[in-house]
Amino acid sequence: MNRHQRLGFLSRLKGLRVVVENKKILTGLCMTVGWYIFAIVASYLSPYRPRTIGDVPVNLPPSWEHPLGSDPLGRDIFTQLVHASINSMQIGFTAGIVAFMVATLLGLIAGYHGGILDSVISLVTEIFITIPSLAILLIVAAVIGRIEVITMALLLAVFGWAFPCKVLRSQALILKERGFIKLARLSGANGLEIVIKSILPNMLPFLGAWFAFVVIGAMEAEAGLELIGLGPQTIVSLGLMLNWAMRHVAFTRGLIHWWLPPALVLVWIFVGLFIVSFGLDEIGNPKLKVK
Amino acid sequence: MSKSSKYDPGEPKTMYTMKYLVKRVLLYVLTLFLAITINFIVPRLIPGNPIEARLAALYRLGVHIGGEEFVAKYSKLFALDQPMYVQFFLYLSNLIQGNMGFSILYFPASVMDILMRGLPWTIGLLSVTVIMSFAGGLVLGAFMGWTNREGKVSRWTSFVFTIFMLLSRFPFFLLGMILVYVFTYTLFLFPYGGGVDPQAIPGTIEYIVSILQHATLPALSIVLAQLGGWAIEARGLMVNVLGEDYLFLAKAKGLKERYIFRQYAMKNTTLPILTDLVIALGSIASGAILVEIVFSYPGIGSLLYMSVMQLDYPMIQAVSLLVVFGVTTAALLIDLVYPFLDPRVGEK
Repeated sequence: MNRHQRLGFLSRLKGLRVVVENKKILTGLCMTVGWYIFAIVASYLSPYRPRTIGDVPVNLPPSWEHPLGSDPLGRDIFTQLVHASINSMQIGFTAGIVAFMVATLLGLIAGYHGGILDSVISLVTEIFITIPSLAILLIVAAVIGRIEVITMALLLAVFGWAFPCKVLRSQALILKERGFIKLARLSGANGLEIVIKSILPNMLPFLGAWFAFVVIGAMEAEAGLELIGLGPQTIVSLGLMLNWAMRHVAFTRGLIHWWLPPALVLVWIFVGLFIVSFGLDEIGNPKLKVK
Repeated sequence: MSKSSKYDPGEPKTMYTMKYLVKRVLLYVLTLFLAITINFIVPRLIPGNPIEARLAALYRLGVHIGGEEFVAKYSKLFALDQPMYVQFFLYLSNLIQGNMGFSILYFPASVMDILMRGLPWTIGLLSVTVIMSFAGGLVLGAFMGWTNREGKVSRWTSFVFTIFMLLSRFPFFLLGMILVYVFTYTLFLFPYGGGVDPQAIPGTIEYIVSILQHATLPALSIVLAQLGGWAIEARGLMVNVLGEDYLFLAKAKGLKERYIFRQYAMKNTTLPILTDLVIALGSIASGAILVEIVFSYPGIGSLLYMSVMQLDYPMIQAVSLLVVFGVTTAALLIDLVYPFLDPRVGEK
């Protein structure tokens, strides 16, 4: 390792430290990842099954045995909640990762390459941004009927990539004109090299922030579809739990131990991810910081 | 706008270039076309007559509606025995005439008739809440950014900011559920379900009061959830504007603070956020649909929920197209007005 490489390595470490030292990012990560780990552990420890009707006595109030009671079909609500958390997060993150990869790829190509490719990508992006995704998703979900988890995640991804793609494109456009990129081009680096070595690292906080947003969007869309009654019915998810609660009019019957937990978990995850993205944004744009 | 033109005498500006106009309208047409095509193709991906397939699915659930007459009428309307491209053009021409077929559930009634019953409720709820939350959030956020411009952040601002941040992450329907629980179940302050008391006589004061009472909670859940998002964004933009040289110059000129805030800072905060409103319209409409379901508010959302429960596919399709149409048209309108507010856009 020569001095130059070492410096590069150190500065990268420092970048990592900035991320960890940022209280917002740390808090948000703890909230999201912490809940995921808790849900996995709890799902193994729980002796009940989330979807088996008549697994426990019906309509139990909360107790030590059943922390959130049971629903009118005799299912332990706490067990449902932890399984649903895992499933919802997995669907959200799968959709998020797919959408995000597409967005990064297309955004960078459009922004850096420019030309006709840029025009085409931009147009498609605009179309997908303008279309209200729920409207299209519900058509597809209604026709497919018994929808699989992976299909669901991919469908969500189809409508999740467009907005980050647009933003990444404009970021790439801005970066392209910066001095160090021009220098890299003059020194003979090819396009791919510049994008990977110079543009991507400079967009990292930005990319992270957008990834969080895409995951939130996917999870929100999934919850919405499930609430309407569309979506994978073979697994239990947070939205499906809310749908069940709604069908049994749990809100106006005061069954707060039934509908509130899935609602709060959704918000908890969203807020966690949002705080992460907010912290990352602050790193990228220090002016935003509220002391 | 007339005020700003006072400062730049000379030839009147052309607000749009043709290119901007053509591009925007083209985008509108393409988006609608894509949505319509998806709506056309997806049910036809299933082999066989799409309507018979739907009815068979219903039949398995034990619902017997329409039967022979329904299939015959539907097949005739959409020429289901003709080749695909004929079907597609027929589908398009039917759509243009506002004909989207019949509801399976309420068979003799057409989809359009039933949609029209729900539409006023949804439009009323949506337009009021969007305007209220957008304007409110914008002013609040801009004010927050403005008041902490010297790096002093009051504890109050931080507190409000945190609350906003939390609220902006609530999907509308979750907030709706909490509001129902607190105000309807616990405090008995507001009625639940429906859009108006069925006993009220249209035209009377009680009728209007009843409408407002029923709309308060759904509206509140949309406004509260959105206000925070707009406020955060407006604050961010305001902070950026505060660093600009023209603001420094305005101050150096000795202009009054209030004038600078209104004419310089606020204007430049509002314009970029307006484009975000265009983008957000789709998700706001989707969110409002879910809120309607939670409150059984008699708009498009509740119609959709009933249709999904009963597998009334033509209705689902119509709701989907209606939402796409409404959102893209509203977005088009804002985009066409935008160059009048910000002349830089049309000129490029």
